[in-house]
Amino acid sequence: MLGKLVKHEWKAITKPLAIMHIALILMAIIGKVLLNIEVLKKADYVWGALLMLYILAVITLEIGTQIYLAVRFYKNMYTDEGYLSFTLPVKSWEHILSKTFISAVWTLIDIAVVILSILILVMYKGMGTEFIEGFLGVLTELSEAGISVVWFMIRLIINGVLYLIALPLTYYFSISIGQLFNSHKMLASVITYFITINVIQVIGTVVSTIMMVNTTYADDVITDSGMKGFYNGILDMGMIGNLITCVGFWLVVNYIMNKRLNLE
Amino acid sequence: MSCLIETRGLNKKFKNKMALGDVNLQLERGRIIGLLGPNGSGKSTLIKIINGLMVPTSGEVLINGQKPGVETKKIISYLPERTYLNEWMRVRELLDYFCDFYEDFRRDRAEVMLKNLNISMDDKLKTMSKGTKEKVQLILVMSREAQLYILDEPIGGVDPAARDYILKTIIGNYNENATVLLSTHLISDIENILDEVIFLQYGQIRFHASVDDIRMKEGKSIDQLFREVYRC
Repeated sequence: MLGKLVKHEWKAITKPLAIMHIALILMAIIGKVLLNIEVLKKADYVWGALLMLYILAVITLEIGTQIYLAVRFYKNMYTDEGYLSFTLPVKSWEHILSKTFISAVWTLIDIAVVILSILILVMYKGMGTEFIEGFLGVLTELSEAGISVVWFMIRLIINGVLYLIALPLTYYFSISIGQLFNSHKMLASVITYFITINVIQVIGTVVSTIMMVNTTYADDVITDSGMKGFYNGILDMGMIGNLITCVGFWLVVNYIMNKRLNLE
Repeated sequence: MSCLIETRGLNKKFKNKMALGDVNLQLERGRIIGLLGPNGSGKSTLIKIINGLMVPTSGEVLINGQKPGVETKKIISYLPERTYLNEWMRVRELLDYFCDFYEDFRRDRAEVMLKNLNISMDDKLKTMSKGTKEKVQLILVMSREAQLYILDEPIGGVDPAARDYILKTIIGNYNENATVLLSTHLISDIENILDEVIFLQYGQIRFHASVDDIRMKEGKSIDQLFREVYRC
């Protein structure tokens, strides 16, 4: 059943998101073509205008994609459509998992598309080689500083994946908490969301400040090994923090769906 | 005969308002049961609790001996009083969806009914009238070989001709071990197909009896009895 939920979730949200993302790529291609026209090349204001337009498009796409994913969850679970979703013979966790998975995949596609569109705009000959050289340079610096490159990469990837999972779960958590209210459920969801991300941010800042003070200063001097410890620590803390957030949100959403559901 | 639905001391409160109060019911297999009562009498609340869309404040409901969950959802075919389908879906896609999730869904049966009502497989829900959407929903629900059909106001929004077809469909499609629980205000339209009735008032059971008993003992039609019980 999980596979079927994933399939139908993908089918349900892909068309509008795909159109939005293809539009950005087309925009980047058109921008690139315009920038290659000699007359326009010399006009600074054309550059400026195009850049503004492009940044605006990216911001709209980013916010639009995330709002779309959140609204899809809300509509599909807690409005009229919920009457079908919750009477399918599947468990609540299967709903959460399929939606989280597809949201994470789409956020990943979204990031990839934005990077691709930037590449299209700034592409020049030899850029690929330069990028690879630069990347290898960073890795060499890391290993010279005594940080295991493989371990660093693995943690970076795990952190990225956890972030992709935590992002939709934050929406699901806020929306589900909103359902516990007797009225103004949407408003309650939005307020819950902003409180939640603020709390997470404050905790993150406090933890990293404490770590900064504890690890980087030895006799009032910032040491190299101290900085190394700090960066390693930040990655670990980020990972643990994301993991706790994901598990916590998951448990709450699952609990509300199972024990506190009240479709009106 | 074995009991298909059993509720024990079922209560549901919203804020301080009681929506259901101590509802105890035993419903058997192979019956068409009318769940009747005026607006706000608790019909939809009871139906939602049976379907697992709402959690009772206290008490419990058992369907085939089990609490609402995956196993009960497999055997209940539920028609809510509202449109629960995705607007952007075509009829064909809806059939795929039901085929994927319900093992007891009979696609051929749905296709025949859609053809009889002149609904094209390629139509999108978005372009349909409210009545047509209701017909599509009812066809999907009645095309399952479920043990329990729960129909919340199935004939409210459609014209009398379609109403007849729908009632015929309901009677024609359920097998003798299945039960149909049907809520409606339009009693005179359905009273001929009912085996028993439950009258709800202020969230409590006012009356639960077989239609034959009512006719024999009271010498009245259900419609007449309803008007008397709920006289304003």
